[in-house]
Amino acid sequence: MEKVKDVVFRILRYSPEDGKPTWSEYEVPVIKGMTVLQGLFHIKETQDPTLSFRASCRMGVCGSCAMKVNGKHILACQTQILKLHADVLNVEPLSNYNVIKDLVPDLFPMFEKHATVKPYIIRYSDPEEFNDPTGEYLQLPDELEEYLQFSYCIKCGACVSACPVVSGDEDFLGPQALTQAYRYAVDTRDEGYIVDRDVVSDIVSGVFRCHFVGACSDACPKGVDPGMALQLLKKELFLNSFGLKRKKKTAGFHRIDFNAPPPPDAPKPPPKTVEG
Amino acid sequence: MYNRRKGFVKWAFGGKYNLEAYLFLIHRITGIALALYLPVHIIVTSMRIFGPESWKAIMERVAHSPISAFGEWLLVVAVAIHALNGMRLILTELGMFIGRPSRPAYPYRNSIDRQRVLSWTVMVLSAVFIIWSVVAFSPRFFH
Ligand code: SF4
Ligand code: FES
Repeated sequence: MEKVKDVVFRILRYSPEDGKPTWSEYEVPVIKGMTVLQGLFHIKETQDPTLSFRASCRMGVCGSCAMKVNGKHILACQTQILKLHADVLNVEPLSNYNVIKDLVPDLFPMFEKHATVKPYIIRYSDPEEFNDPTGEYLQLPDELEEYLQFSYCIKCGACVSACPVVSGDEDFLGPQALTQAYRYAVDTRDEGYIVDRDVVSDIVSGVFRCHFVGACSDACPKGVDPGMALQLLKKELFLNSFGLKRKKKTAGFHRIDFNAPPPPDAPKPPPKTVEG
Repeated sequence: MYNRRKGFVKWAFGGKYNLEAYLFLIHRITGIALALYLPVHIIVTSMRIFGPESWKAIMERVAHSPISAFGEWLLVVAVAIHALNGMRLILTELGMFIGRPSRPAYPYRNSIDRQRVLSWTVMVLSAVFIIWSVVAFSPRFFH
């Protein structure tokens, strides 16, 4: 493919041996459709093999490659260079984290906070169902819509990087964790609700530290809209504290006989291939 | 490793932000200013317990200079902005004006975009209030 133009990548480099982060410039010949991640790989392969960044899926689902380009949060793999309409790209690692090297932030604090909100379905009425499943819980389409958007989170950490409240206070759980708290709290199959996830109402780390700046919603590359989840979580806590809102129960349970023979009209499994 | 947390600086210079980030900054500044003002206000008004004379004396001192008129005007403006933006926050935090969860489809339109009409309302009402307050205070400024 033909080169469209040269774009300068100004990258905030840092290596633990040198101590201080510094800007380095690289010129990249850009072809149509080239992503920021491809640009970084081009630099790594042809100009500077010491450049470090994180990427895996290169299709916007693993959440490894979030970074800041010209002040905006992006996933490097799903952002085309030409769509940025700039001749110079200032590429920085995410804010609000420690940086391990170059464009690699240490996301551990986010994952630790994520774990504290119990991001899984909690059951009390039939705990044995989890170890030994006998069927599936039923859920109405409306109940699914309540949380589906928030389940698209890929834990890239862009929202936490954008949040000015996290910047002011590390103890705040941040948009990512609280969004997942809401996602599981309103899932009808869950029985823990906001009562079991009591960190969300904590005065230091909880959701009421959020002031709806909306930077997280703007930053999120997956359209998860953490800002909305946090406001809905506040509403949930508010109504619940006056006893105006109760947790919805699951619509039912559908027992499946896992040992039953398949019905006669079921499609046949593909023939087994012999391992070479 | 080095830390990229900028602390309170990010309240003001965090990057390319939406409009509400600046409302947040103004809300913080006016909020902190009002919190600092409140104890001063309580001390000054509590002078009344020492009798009408001391009350009159302190009022002579604080209430009649153009500088205190300016301070009072700042206070009025801060209260107005903080109250108006506070009402916006109460509405949105109770889930109003932010829409309902839906499957993300590109181009994303999020809750902060949906409630933007409130932000503009807050800013227009604040501007109207500030203009009105300048007019109302002007006799005292040039007294
Ligand atoms: S909510 Fe969005 S920005 Fe935040 S971690 Fe999940 S995908 Fe990334
Ligand atoms: S490489 Fe997986 S999200 Fe970009």
